[in-house]
Amino acid sequence: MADEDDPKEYRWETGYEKTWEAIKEDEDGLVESLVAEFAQKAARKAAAPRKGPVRLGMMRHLLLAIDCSEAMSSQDLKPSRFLCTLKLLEKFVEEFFDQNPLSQLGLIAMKNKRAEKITDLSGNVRKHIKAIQGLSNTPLTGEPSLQNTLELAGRILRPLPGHASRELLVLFASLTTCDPSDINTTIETLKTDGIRCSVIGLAAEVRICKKMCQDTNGDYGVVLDDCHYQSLLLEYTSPPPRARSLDAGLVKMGFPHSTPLEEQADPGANVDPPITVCMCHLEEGEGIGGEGHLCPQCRSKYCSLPAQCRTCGLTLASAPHLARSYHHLFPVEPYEELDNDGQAQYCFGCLRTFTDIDKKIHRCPRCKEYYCWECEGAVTATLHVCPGCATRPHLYQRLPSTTSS
Amino acid sequence: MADDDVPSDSSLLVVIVDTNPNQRYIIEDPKMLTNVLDAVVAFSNSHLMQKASNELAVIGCHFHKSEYLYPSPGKPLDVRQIDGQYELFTLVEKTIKMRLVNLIKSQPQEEKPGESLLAGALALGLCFIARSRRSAIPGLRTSSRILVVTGSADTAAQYINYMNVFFTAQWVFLPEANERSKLVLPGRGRVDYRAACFCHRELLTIGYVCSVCLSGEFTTLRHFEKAARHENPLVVAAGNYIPDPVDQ
Repeated sequence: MADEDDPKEYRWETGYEKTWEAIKEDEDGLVESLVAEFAQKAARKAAAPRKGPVRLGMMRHLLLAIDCSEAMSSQDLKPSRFLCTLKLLEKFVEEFFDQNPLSQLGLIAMKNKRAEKITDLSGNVRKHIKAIQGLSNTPLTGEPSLQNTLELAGRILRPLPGHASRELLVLFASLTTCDPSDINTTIETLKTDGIRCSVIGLAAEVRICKKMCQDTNGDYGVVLDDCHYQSLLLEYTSPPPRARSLDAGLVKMGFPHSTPLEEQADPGANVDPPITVCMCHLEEGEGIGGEGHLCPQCRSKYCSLPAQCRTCGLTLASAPHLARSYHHLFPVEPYEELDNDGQAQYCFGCLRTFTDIDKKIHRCPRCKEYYCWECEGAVTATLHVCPGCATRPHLYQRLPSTTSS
Repeated sequence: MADDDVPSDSSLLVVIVDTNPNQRYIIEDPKMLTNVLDAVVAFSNSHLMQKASNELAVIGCHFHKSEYLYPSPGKPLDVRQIDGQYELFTLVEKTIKMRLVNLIKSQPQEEKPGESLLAGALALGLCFIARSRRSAIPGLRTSSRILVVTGSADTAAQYINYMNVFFTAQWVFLPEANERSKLVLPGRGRVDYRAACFCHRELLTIGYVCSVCLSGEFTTLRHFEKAARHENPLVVAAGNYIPDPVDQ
């Protein structure tokens, strides 16, 4: 969410915002319809229009840099900026891997004018969450160094293969940075390497952050409160437009599969699977058991997918992990918003009757059915399937028309 | 999301009944559909009998469209007490039967029945569940589940819709956690999670996934052919898992 260059004055120059005047009761003394209107307006604003057909990066390598300087101990976000950040990050990590199962995340701490790697780039959710929880006792002193963070990120992301996106997200609370040399050369290097840098500012807009984000084609947002912080953070779970043109490479992947029990050669034998150690829990000493997924190339066992095989380096996944990103490739046609003129009595999706509270109703341009604003929000954000189109024989196919056989 | 240990105060059951006349068990014996429907009505009523706050929705999935059989969108039918039956049960039975007759009568005569569009019916059910969750009284613990009764096989043409519906339904448990231990559940089964190769539709354990299709706009398939000529093993393309309808 970039700050627009407003021709108006700054926020502190305007008069009081008389927010209480927006609340008006209707004839019965109720505010129900007003609450519904506010909720609809918020939903409409949250569902910002898509920027047209862009290439998205779905296999993502995202580095998260967390500011651990003195500015993070400020208490304008409760209980402190740092603890609020850590709590929101736990949710972010889970949501990130839910939406992008084949991507990898890494954590960096900006401590005391240096950048320190906390976790390596990996797809292991537990490891990241444990590391985030372990950070809560870090002493917050000194100043951060933006340039050292950028250098470290560049060192980590540069050697990676070209088919995945390279991103850096900095959570920055300080208004200063202490850098060894000219940061502009570092920014130029990142730009040539195609690393997309974004910043979420916790204090105020800082010019060098804005420049960095603009040059590398990233996003810059400054938080207003913790709810806004969460919504800004969660925006980064969606794949960004691609930073540079990536080649149509083929990525070798393995899809573990074991033959079903009925097909095994000797039906009379005792079919308990052999007890083996699982590779993802090697350090912890757990994970001894029978069930698991075997890497097709080297037969090492992993208890959960997706995983990067430690022995042979093959990326292991299953078909649903690939399908998780399908809704970006095959999006739902957006619904039209119309004034409620009595075109329909009830919502096609949930059967809720339309009342006077529904000032606007939505219509699908393909199946021509009418939906309430809540179903429209559910379809756009979560379901990605229009119920009307999916139940019509001439509309349910999601293949684009440009497919050539 | 339903709690694991605490029983819920209100349970919503959504039943999706596949009424497509081209299902094999209906072709072989058309009367079977009546038996299936009677069983569904009996099951739905017994669900409503468990708790006064339990809710029900029944969706009929026909080949030309899917519709709510219960509740009826407009005014509910006027029912009188018959044979000492609880009026709600009479209402459920009469509404379902009446709306199903209308649904079947509305089918286009000149079209051959296509496949059952169950993924769409599931999407419809999920919208109803979302609404029931939104309008629940705060503090009321609700749980919901969907039961699909069908004799149709899976088709690849609805793959994308199915996957979207399944990911959304990950938030909905089937059945309530404390009931699961009392039910005789079907075996876990072996789900085949392999992806299919684009050129031969074979399921692969090792394949090559196109980084563009997985991560970009879906244009023509020519970029595969170009890349595939340099690679020996079979090609897997995530965006092309769905077989072309022309090929079928």
